[in-house]
Amino acid sequence: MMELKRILLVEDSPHDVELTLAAFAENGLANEVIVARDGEEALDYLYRRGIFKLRMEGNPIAILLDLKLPKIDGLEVLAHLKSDAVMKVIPIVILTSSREEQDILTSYNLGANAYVVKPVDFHEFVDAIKEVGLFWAVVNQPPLGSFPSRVP
Amino acid sequence: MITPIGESWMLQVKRSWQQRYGVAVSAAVLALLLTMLLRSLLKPTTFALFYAAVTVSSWYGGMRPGLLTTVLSTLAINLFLIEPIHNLSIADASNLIRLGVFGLVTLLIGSTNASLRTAKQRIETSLLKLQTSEERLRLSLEAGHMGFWDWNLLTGEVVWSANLEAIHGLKPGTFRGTFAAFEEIVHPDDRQLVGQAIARAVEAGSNYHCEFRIFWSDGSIRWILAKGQAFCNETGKAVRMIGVGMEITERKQTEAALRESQQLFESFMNHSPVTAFIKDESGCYVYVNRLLERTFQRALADWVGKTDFDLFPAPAAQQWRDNDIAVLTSGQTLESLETVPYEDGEHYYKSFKFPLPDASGRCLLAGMALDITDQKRLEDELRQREDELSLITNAVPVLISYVDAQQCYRFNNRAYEEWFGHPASDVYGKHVQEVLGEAAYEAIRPYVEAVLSGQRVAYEAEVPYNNAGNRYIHATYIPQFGNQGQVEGFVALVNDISNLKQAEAVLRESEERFRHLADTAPVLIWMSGTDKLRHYFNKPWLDFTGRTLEQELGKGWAQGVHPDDLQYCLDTYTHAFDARQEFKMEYRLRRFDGKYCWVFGTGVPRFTSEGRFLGYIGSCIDISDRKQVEAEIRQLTETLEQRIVERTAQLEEANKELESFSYSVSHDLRAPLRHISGFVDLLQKRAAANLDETSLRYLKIISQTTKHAGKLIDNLLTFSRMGRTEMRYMTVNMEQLIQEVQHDIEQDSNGRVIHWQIGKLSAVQGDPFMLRLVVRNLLENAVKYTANCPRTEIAIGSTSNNREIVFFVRDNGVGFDMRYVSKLFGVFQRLHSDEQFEGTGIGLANVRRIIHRHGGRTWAEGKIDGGATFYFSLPEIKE
Repeated sequence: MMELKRILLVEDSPHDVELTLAAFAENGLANEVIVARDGEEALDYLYRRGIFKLRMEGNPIAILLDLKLPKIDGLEVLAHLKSDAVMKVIPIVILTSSREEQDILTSYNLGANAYVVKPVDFHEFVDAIKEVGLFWAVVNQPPLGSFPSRVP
Repeated sequence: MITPIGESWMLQVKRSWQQRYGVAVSAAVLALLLTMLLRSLLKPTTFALFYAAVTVSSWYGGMRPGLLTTVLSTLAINLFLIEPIHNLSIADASNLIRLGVFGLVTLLIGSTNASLRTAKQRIETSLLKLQTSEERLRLSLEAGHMGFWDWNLLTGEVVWSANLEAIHGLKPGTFRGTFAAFEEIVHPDDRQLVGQAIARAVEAGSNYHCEFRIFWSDGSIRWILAKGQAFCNETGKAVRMIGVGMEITERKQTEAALRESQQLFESFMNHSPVTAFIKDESGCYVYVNRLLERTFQRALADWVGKTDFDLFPAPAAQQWRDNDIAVLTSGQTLESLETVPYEDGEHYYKSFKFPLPDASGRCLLAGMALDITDQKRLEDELRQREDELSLITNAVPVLISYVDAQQCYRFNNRAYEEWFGHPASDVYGKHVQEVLGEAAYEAIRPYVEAVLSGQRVAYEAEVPYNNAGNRYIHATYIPQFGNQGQVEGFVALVNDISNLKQAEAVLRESEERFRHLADTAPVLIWMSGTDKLRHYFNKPWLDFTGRTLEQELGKGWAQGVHPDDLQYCLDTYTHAFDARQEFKMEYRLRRFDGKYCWVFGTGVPRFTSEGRFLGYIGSCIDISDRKQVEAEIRQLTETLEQRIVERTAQLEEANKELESFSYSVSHDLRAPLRHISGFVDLLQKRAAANLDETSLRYLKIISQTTKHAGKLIDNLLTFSRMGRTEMRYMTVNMEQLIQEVQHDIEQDSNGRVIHWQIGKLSAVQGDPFMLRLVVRNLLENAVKYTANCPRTEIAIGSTSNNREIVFFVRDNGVGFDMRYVSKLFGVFQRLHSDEQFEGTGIGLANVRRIIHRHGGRTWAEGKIDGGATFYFSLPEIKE
């Protein structure tokens, strides 16, 4: 078994969260996926604030970040993290419905590590998640400080 | 007629003896009778009457009748008076003594009377003689228009004969008889002369001779010749002057006329420009005039009596003598040319010689001669000149002629020969009309008449010549005036300008065409010469400025330029002019109504075909409307900019909204679809075993529809994006692009066999991402619509002209109905149903949008079941 690592999924849509988790599951990527429902929550998690104040130390090996988020949107989160000397090493994969070039460009400019458009077709979506999960959770060597997830 | 001798002296000298004796007897008888009758009264001198009778008788009859009367008286006395009466005897001695005394006395009386009578008779006879002589003198004086005068110097009395009075214009007897009366009628200028002559005669007791003028009572002047003699008494003192006067007016007049005639002759001869001479028969000179004297520097005296042989060389003398003899023998005038030897050579004389009989009947020879050497030389020169002139006039390609006042040719140069075919000499003396022909003459006649009236004439006319055809001529007629100012003829210079006229006509037509064009063109046109001065303005210009051509000419046009623009205007004009460059300028020009209008003026230099600079031609158009519009635009632009700023802001806002909308569409609309798709799939997996076929089919339809909706949204978003996104131009290698797309498609085509035929493709400038979309759309379409074909053939190629590159994608698929070709590139427009070929109807719309954004075109050709060809063009790459 591969050593599974923790992934932060920032997604406000519960359906998407469910489908994403289903896709992970379908592909046997049993990483610990932490879900943040908006940008604030995501940042709170990462900086161990608010409800995540007491969480364990260690950063996720990757962040799957939706762009359209309540409160603080994805690009703001991205910008914040990539401007943070500690956080910027965390690979961030933008996972969004938007094909807007502007979004793509901005994301990369802000330091996004990958940009994945969620396909409408579920099979394609599953494939996409599979590939993303495989790459970032398995293939990619995360920076130091990332904690390995443990199978609960 | 009164003579100085009284008429009473005029007695008959011869008396008959009967008369004498009758008187003697009668006297005696009468004395007796009277005595008898008066006897008482006569006593004591009774015989007194008888004495008287004897006296009368002897006086009348002479001695013998006196004796008779004495005898008779004695008898009578004795008989009738002495007692006894009637008795002859003497009775008484005293009576006898008485009778004796009586007889003695009477005898004495008789004798005395007789001698007296004889003396008287003698006197009478001499008087008669005198009278006769005097009458003869008077008559002769009268016949000689003479009169007689007698001036008693002692008494001062002057006696004039009647004819002297007549000579002096006085009526007979009216001369007052004094010297003063005479002097009064003498001409005042001559009075002194008369006085002196008289004084001289009186002083010397000599002859008096004087010619003087008098005034007649009618005021006329007469010449009088007075001659006379002064007579002196014993003491030598002049006491009387007697003389005659005669009228010599006629003689004086004749003398004056003669003198005048003589002077005239002298004057003529002395001033004569010709030499004149008279010779006698032997050839000796009698007279030469002053010119001849001067010519040979020899005084008249040196000529007279000498012959030509004495004076001149023999050959010359002989020549002249021959001519002289010819005249003398023929008696005719001879005109000849004679040569005269001069120091400077021979001179030519034109000589006239004629016979001249003198008063004595001698035949003299007179002659006159004129030195014509200069004239002859001039004639020679003139002839030479004429030859030269002919040479010149003949060389000139112009008709030159001289026509006299009678309109006859007097000179023609050779050009006439060329024009009319006759030698110029044939034309000489002929009338113009005859030479030129009737029609030609009519054409030039007014000008001929004008020049003959003394005007110089120059004209151009078309003249139908008789022998020289129709010619267009330019003629100049110059009148020639005589000494009196009368026109003697004229010189005609005629130039054939037919060719010139033709050229002029062509030029004029061209010019007219230009004028017409210029005057009807809706632009203001001007032209200038090389001096920068403008010499032409078309009608629109003049209409525009409302000024006359004269006002605009030269620099006049600049007056209409707005003062603020004038310097700029002139500078532009001048600089361009000097550089011979085109110029353009905008300035304000005053219109006819005084309003300044903006005009746009251009000027270009004009050159001849040889490149010679001619000046400028320029045009102006009224751009006041444009200027106004410009001003308005400027104003509008200003407000527009403001509005644009506002509108841009609005648009930006709208754009943002649209972006936000697109984002929403892209994100929010796809999310539910994804959810439907995802959960249907999950449902299918979980419940597949428990579901019947229909349910499964429904699930499948839901899944497919969701997928289609997702695709639709994606395509729509792309389409929207293609219209909005900024273009990034770069060189795109179309061959490579197509290869990549082709590869992608083949990946997705599930192993379909497709025969690709890809030609050489040009590189283009464009947005690579967009162009990839285009190519992908077209290739996908080609693949899609050939799906049902047994063999799929897709050809790709490009052609290019210098403007654009045309790409095409051809397939052998189902094609389309060309009637609907216009719908092909519209959004959501489809020519096939989804069941036949699935699609969103956005792809080709997207293609068109992208290509249009690149500045290209799209079009298509197709045929149902005959394949389709899609074309798009892109602009050629510009360096």
